[in-house]
Amino acid sequence: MKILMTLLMWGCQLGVAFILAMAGLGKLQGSEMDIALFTELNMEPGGRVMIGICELCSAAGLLHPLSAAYSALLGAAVLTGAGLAHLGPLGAEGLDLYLPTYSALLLILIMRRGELPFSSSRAHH
Amino acid sequence: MSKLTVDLEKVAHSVNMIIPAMTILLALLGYYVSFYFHFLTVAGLFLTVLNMSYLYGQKRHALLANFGLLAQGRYILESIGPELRQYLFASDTEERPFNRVERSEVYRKAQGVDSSSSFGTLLDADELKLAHSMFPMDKSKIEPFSLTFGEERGIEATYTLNSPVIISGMSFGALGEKAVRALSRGAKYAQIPMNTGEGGHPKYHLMEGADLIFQIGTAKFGVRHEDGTLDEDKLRALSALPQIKMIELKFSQGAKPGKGGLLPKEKITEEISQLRGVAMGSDVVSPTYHSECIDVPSTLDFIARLQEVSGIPVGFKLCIGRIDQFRALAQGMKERDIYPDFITIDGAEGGTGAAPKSFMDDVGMPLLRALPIAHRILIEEGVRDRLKLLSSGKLINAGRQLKALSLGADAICSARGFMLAIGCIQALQCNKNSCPVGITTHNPKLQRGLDIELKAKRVKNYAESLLKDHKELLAATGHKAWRDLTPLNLIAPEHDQADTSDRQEFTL
Repeated sequence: MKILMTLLMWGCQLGVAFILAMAGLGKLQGSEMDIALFTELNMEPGGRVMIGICELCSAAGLLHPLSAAYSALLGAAVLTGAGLAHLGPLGAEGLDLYLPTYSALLLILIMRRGELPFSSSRAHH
Repeated sequence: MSKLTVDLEKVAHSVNMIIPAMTILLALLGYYVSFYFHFLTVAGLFLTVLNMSYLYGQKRHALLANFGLLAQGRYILESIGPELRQYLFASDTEERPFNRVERSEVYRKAQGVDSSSSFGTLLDADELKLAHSMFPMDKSKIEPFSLTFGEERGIEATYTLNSPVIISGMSFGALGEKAVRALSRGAKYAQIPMNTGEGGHPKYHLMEGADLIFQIGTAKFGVRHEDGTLDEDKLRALSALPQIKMIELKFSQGAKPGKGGLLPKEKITEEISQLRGVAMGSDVVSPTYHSECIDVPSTLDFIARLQEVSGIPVGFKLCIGRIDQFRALAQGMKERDIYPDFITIDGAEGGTGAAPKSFMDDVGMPLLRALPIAHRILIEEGVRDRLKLLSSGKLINAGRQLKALSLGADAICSARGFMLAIGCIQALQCNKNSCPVGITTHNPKLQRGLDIELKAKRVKNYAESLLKDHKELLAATGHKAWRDLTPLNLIAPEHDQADTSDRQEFTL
């Protein structure tokens, strides 16, 4: 059971890291779609570059056990922001991978919550 | 004018309303002013969800359910309280079990730097003190320390101690591999023996070449049959190792007298489970007593059996509880002509890797009371000259050690003194496998900072510095040998300073 959970966690990490890396590279390379989206949000080019860097950092961090929990938190924050954008000016299109990615990030966070500094492990000693 | 006060309940309720309100405000700013505001909206959303989960999604913590996120402040502060107290708020003399003054002295000795102080003592004057002589001894005349175990029985494999200090029992399990090796290597450098603790086959203790006292606990790790009884073949094989100089049978220890050893499951690695022959995943609680020892005769028979099988000096360790039982044991020794080669008296203030708090706080006799009682009973029963008396329990500095020697001990055992010497910061996490300096943990990340060679040298420095202080103090008492120390060398705390009579005996 423990091995299965570990496999599931690492499967999620690798999958999400790939998706975030692709999204981040797209933003940093200035793909037409991303430029159009961030123009719509009045965040072009600063916001696009900033979010792209965050996505790449999150993707890289998910590949190492020491940084995976923090990277999952960063990734969830970026995706929450993306959700806000799609709830507003961008509309609901282009969200095929959104829910699976967000769910995977939450799963990683739940499984690795003990690695965050504000865990409950040291309380009440 | 009304007074300004802080009502934390109202503050918490306000915060619980402000968090979602601010999040909504930020979201509106994000949509209508600049999307950049959504960076803060995201943080606000996280906090809102977290706060809701505390208020409505859990029932374990009433404080969180009533007050939400702000209540975490209490838990956060509580969790770092020990550090805050140690770093900032506790005075130099009020920490327990060792205050900053005591710890600093060990650190300085271990690092080989000057440990002298200035301006006067920080301790109360009305404490047990050593009595100096009007005619101190010339230090050059002090005789080298020598204590031979097993000579009373006339065995071949006697063991001679050349320093009054022994590293007390610390097992691999309670301590991590690197700490055990650092202590053991340091013991070799300092030419003092180390007790293995009741951790089974002392693989890492043996690795560094120090003289060892093999401890047999009630679970008999390392020398047991599957049913927990003594495996003589295993004991014989271990005793035949040249490094194993003596055997100590542990009946009880000061930190948890009347209770068997305890190794929390967090600290049981695969290697430990193999060395001890126990399963992983659950706490290992040793039996409360040796199945072979149910009364005085059977206890003495078992000691005689250990002496016969091992062929080396065999003693036992206990924390004194009922004085009548200790007297009966001494009487039994005389009647049956069976004597342990040594007895270690552990004070109730002794340390441990893990023990129930009620046992640590409320069971057993403190050392400075137990030691003179044991010494006196052994004399009264006519067996004191048939064995050596060791003592342990917060004996980390030379002054306290000489007090114990004055009360009847022949030599001193200290564990925590040597732990401090290798860098223990008294984080009080020995039972959690999270020791921040890598001593009482098996976590390789935490052990990474512990340099075996460096710490071994600190063990040597500390042991040598203790011996130097011993000699200074011994000279001050006017004696040239440790064996000359008696209760006359003590000033009891209740002694009336105005009393001009010549009675100065330490009262029990």
